[in-house]
Amino acid sequence: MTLSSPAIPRGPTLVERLPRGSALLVPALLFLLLFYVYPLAQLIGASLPGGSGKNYALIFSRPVFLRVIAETFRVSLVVMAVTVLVAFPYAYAMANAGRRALLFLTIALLIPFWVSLLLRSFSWIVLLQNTGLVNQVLLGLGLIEKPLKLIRTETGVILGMVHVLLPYAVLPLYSVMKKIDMRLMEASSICGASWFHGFRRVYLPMALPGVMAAAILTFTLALGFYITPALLGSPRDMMIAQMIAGQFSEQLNFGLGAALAVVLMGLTALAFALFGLGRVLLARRAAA
Amino acid sequence: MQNNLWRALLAGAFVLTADAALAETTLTVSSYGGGYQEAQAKAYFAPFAAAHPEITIRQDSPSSNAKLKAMVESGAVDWDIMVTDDSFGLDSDAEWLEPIDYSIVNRDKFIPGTAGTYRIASDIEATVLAYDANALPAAPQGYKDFFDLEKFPGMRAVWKYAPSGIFETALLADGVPADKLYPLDVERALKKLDTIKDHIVWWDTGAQSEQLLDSGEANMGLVWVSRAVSGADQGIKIDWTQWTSQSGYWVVPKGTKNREAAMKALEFFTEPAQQIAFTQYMPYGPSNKTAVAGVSETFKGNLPTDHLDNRVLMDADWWAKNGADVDMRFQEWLLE
Repeated sequence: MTLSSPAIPRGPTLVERLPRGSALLVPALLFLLLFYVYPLAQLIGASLPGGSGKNYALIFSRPVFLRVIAETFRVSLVVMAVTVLVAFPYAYAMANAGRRALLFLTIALLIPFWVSLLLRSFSWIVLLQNTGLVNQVLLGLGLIEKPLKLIRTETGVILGMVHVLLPYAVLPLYSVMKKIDMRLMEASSICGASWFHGFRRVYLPMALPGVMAAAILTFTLALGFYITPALLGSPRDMMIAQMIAGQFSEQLNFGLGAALAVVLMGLTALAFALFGLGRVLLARRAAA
Repeated sequence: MQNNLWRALLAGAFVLTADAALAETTLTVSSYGGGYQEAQAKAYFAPFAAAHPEITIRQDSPSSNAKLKAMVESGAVDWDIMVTDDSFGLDSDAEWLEPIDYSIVNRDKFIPGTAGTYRIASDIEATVLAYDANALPAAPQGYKDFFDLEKFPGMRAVWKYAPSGIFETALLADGVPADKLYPLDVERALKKLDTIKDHIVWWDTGAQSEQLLDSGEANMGLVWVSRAVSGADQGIKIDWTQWTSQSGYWVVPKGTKNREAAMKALEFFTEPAQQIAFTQYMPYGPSNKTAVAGVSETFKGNLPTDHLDNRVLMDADWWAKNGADVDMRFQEWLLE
């Protein structure tokens, strides 16, 4: 018996279906595989000693861990919102500034960016502590009678973190904003829109990709903050990274530290997915 | 031009091989960096190299118990000797350490409690009650005063680290006799700490503790002796009525290729001459009992070993067994 089935037209193979130039991605993918995926797999392995999930059971049974995780996300969200709100007008000014002003704004943004994180946190201590500059000036002017509690509070942590993260929000916003054609705003005002209306309906939607990028970047970076909350916050402002570091370097409990890191990563991935979903929904609304 | 370059390279290679022929062994020693390691280099490493031309010492820093553990577990042991803290080098850490070879190192020369199976003390350090003499109405005397908010109002700087001695301090202040501290009554200690919780400023790094006292942010603190001593010109004084031990230890990572040379070096580092030289540079006492009386004048009176009778010896083995649980309870308490 011969099986002479009619020749089915063969579809493109997997390799053929890849977009052109995919081969260029190979070095980057190999790098990621070797230096990201492989250590990550090892980390996940370390969190499951002998295949037992006892580290995860511990994390979800002791309130201390869940509380710190919830706190980390809450603080990161606040920091993200404040950073983007502060960065938006700054980036707007940069995008619409003359050459000299742009140079000045860029330098003012980048010089603190190059200073060590530890040094910047200590500088905030010098400014914010009860015997610090801010309180001494206010006391000296007679505006307050007792020093304000600025340091070892959540305000201190947020201030310090926003300061560190500002460039990460300004730069993506700026790169989007400088491509926005300001004549569109003129056009909208010619059509009778108020400045605010034009801003809301014309400028903001075009700047939105920048806002999204800035928000994602600052939020993810904020989740991993370690030294700033340690120096500027109270123990109640502990973030998850401090706990992970403590498990690795003080307790030498690599398993629990790895499990905490995996939980943090999982929740971060979840947050990313939500961001992505939000973007799709926004795009759909815009298209409708 | 090209020729000169080759010649220079060749000369360099020649020097390198000549060097290698002379120094057959290279010992890599990891310490905590900074002034501490510089003092060790001057007092220990340089004289050792002079006495043993066949051994070269290569320095690394900073020491990290976690890194040592990872080195041994991955089979890539780059360190031959490491300086560590109280929490490491105990019998429960046998997996990662070579036992001290007491046929090379003389065990009898050490102050009691400072020579173990896997570690020997390099120096005796302390967490002390330091205070700002300009800001307090009187000099505090002992841990009871540290908890006395009426006599001594103001903020207290404390290390945010469960085995820092804070539990022992609280229990002693609460009236527990020093010889009945262990097993620690954790809940009782936390209850005592509750009474000053709102007046504690926690510190994470040594620099931070010094900054808190110098700026007047806190007027009392439980800080490392070296940090207290360096605030002396700002009016920071030390109350030696009670102090908790916090020492530096030498350990040898398991699987080092230079075990014997490492043991020889440890014996040399802990000899009186070297340990006395060390007290010129750092306010830490010697672990060798015959060196205690001969310490340098530089910090005399503020060396922990000048006050050995008042030492609260921390039970490192108890901490090794219970540290993880106590730490978790401590973190919970901090968040309350």
